[in-house]
Amino acid sequence: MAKLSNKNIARGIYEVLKDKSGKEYTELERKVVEYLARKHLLGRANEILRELGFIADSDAGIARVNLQSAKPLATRVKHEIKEHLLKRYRVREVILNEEIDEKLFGGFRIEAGDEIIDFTLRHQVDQLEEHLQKS
Amino acid sequence: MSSHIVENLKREIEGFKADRKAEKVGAVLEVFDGIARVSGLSDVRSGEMVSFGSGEVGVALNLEEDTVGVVIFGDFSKIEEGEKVTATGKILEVPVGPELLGRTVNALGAPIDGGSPIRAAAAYPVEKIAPGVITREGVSEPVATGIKVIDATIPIGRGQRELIIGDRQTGKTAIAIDAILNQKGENMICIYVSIGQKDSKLRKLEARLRAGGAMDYTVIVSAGASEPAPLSFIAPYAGVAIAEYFLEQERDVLIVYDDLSKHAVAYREISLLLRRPPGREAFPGDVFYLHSRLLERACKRSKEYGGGSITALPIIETQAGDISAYIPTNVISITDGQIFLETDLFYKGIRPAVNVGLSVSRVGGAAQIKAMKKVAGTLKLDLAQYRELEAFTQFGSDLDAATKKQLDRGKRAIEVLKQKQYSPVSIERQVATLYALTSGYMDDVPVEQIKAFEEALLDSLERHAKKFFKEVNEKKMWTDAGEAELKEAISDFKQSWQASKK
Repeated sequence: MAKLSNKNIARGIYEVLKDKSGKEYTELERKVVEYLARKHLLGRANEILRELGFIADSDAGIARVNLQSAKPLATRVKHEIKEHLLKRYRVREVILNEEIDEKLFGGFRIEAGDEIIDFTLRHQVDQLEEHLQKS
Repeated sequence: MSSHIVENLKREIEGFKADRKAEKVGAVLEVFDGIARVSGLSDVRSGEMVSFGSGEVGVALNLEEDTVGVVIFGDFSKIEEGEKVTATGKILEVPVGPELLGRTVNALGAPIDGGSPIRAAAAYPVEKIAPGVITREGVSEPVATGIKVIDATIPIGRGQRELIIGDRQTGKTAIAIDAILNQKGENMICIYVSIGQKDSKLRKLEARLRAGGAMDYTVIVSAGASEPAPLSFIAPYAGVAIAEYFLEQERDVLIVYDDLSKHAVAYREISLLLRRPPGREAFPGDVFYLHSRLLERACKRSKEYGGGSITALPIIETQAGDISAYIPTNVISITDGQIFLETDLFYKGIRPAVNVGLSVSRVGGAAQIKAMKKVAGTLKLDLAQYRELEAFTQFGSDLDAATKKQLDRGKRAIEVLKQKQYSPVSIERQVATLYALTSGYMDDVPVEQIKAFEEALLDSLERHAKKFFKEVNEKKMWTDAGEAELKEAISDFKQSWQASKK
């Protein structure tokens, strides 16, 4: 039998728990944990939970994005970024998690899933350094 | 001086354009024995180069549902769990260009000869689909190896793939190196790919090639025994990528893979670490494709597509002469012939220790000049018949005259085909020697004197058969006048030789 991937397990858990609530939800949740323990899958719990988060967000049309910048960004800029990301990821909602990092010098950086869009000065300086070393 | 540097810097900075694009990233989940398992990298392609936060580079080989298996080219001990991995969007490539000639580089194209950095203007992908049928043409021009037994009985053509196979210490590398040394002035670029060899051996080879003036047209690509298996795995592909650059420049290239047994072992190591299912001798299922896609990149390109050729000389090391093992049979079936070297012959003093009976060139006479075809036509058959009759030599006195004659001719042929290492013989000298042999001029020369006779004969012919040599060299065939001159020169030499021996 093919190896069960974390994504498969997470999808299974999601399908089981979807649309459930109350006592039934608690009971199923207990069964899921029992199943994971029986199949020796608890060691992969963190990755499975991560996948579960992605699946739930994807079904709900949500994109969780880390927005890093050297200084707090103006509301208008944040709004424009949100608008752009709504189109890029074709989702209903973009949840921005803002972080301030002075080491970025300027600009901002977007992290969504395994994608990074870097408009920081730090990144450009790094690229320039690489370019000068090569030439 | 400093203002010049500042000006240069200014120009570089002004010309610099930052690359603003979305990057796919992942994180290292685990690292072991040159392999990293990475999460993320959702759009990564198989064979795509990835870079680690610590500066190391790798190639994505296993694309699984949750993770990506990456082979690391470099020091994997520097890589930590959780480290960022970035997809470069590029298939692994190596720098190519004339700047590489005379240099020794590693499998990634970085110099390892202590020389200056290589500033190559172009880079070629290490993995590339071989040229299609339409762009190719039949092998028709010879690659002169300078080794008599090969040029006469197992001729190699430009664009051919000829396997050199034999046990350890039978002279496989020596044949390849002699072939490279003989390409001086032949308008051929040579690439020597060393896979899993000792650094001391490589150093000796490089010194030998340099001493013979061969480094002017040679590139050495090396993945040493102390380097990680992934580098041994990509070294031959890097070598052929460099060869393809010269092919694009319409040049003829000779590439030696020394050796593909170690290459297969390196790939087996990587595959097992990537948890791919093992097959026969624990090699993965695609080990045939590993070598077939590499050797298929050797080609003779038709004139309409620019001409040029890549001739491949892969080397395989056998265990106890077993050519029916997995990797040897695979590579034998891929190549257009094989040169089989035998330990027994080697220790009998027959060097190069080529077993003419088991060796074959499937391109055959198409890769020989007319003159060589004429003198060597029956040589292979004569030698094979001699081997069959060899067992009867102890009954010498009871044999009939025809058998005895065949045995005598065979013994002399074997003596003539013996050759010292690093002493390639030009094609016209080979033709003259074989002409003397097959025309019976050596039949009355004692076997133990054959080598001395041959050397003195060639020295004499250089002076007295100039027309014959010129015709073979330029027109690839002699005329009646040239042949008459040669016959006379041989007869004259024989008289003086016999007189001096009395």
